[in-house]
Amino acid sequence: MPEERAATPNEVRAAIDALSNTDWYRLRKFADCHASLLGEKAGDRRGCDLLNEAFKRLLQRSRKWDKTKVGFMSLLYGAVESIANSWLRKKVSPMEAAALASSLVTENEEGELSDPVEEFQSTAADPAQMLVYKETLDQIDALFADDPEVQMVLEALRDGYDPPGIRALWGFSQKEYNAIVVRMRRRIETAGITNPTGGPLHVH
Amino acid sequence: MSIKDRYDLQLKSLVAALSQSIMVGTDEEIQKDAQCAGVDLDANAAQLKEMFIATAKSFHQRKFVQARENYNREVHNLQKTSFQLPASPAERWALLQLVAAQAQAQGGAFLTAKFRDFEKLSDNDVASLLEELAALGLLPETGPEG
Repeated sequence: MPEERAATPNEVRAAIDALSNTDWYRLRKFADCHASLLGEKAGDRRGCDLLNEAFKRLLQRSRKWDKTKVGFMSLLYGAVESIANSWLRKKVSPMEAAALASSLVTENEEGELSDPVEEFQSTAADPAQMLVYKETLDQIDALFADDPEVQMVLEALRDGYDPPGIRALWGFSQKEYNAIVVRMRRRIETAGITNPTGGPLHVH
Repeated sequence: MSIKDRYDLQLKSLVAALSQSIMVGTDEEIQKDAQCAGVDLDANAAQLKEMFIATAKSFHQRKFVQARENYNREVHNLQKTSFQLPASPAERWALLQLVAAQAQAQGGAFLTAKFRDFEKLSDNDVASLLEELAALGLLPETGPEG
């Protein structure tokens, strides 16, 4: 059995240096996507804040990160998702929630983060927040009025189908499904729903 | 409440599908995304990398400050438990002889080397030795100052 290996600060730094520009954009898109779920609960926080919070968690737990088992990006993906879910379920501000959430998160032997809050489905939905979600969904629907394939995928997602279920439901191949989701992703981002990365990051 | 009214779950399902596609998409696809959204990949990477490095720096500085605070606290605790040694050299000799006798009676090997040349110890050596023993909590007949 290989010896458990923890990442040192230098290895964390090396992991940062190893990311390509495309990796960084992938991470930001992923975080923006999850931040879009937060609505008003995000306060003035955006995807990059979510990403930074995930990185802080990694630093706090770097002694336990076995980089031979879990990649840097995978670890950040998991942490971003976990933090977004935690913020979503809490009534306190994201700052307070982050501190609370950090204290609850544990890691398994594979070095994967696990948040006990995620074990519980939200049962009491905030009506105001629900309205924001509905408006976001309506806005997304409106973007694809001229794209029946995306509408089919959206409808199935809203009905609770997972990707394999959607492919089976509509008879899409994996390649067709991927192409539809990519099309959907780009238009949603361009519309600014999951892409609040304006200002200096944009090409002028 | 059915799924039809759970807009949170519906949006979550959509976000899960989108984020999955971001994770598994090829580099070319992601670069095309950036192009479509008008995002400068270099500027984005520089901004996020700078943010991470600043966070790491702040985190390690905080750890350093915390370690220094812990060290200062330890030093303070050691100082608090320092002993008021007897004032005169004769009294210090008497105390040291008492400790030596007790240690030898209990078979205290750890003091043997120190006491091998017992008679050759200077007054300063005696004081220094008593301070060491006090710091180790090995002066049973004396108590903490204050």
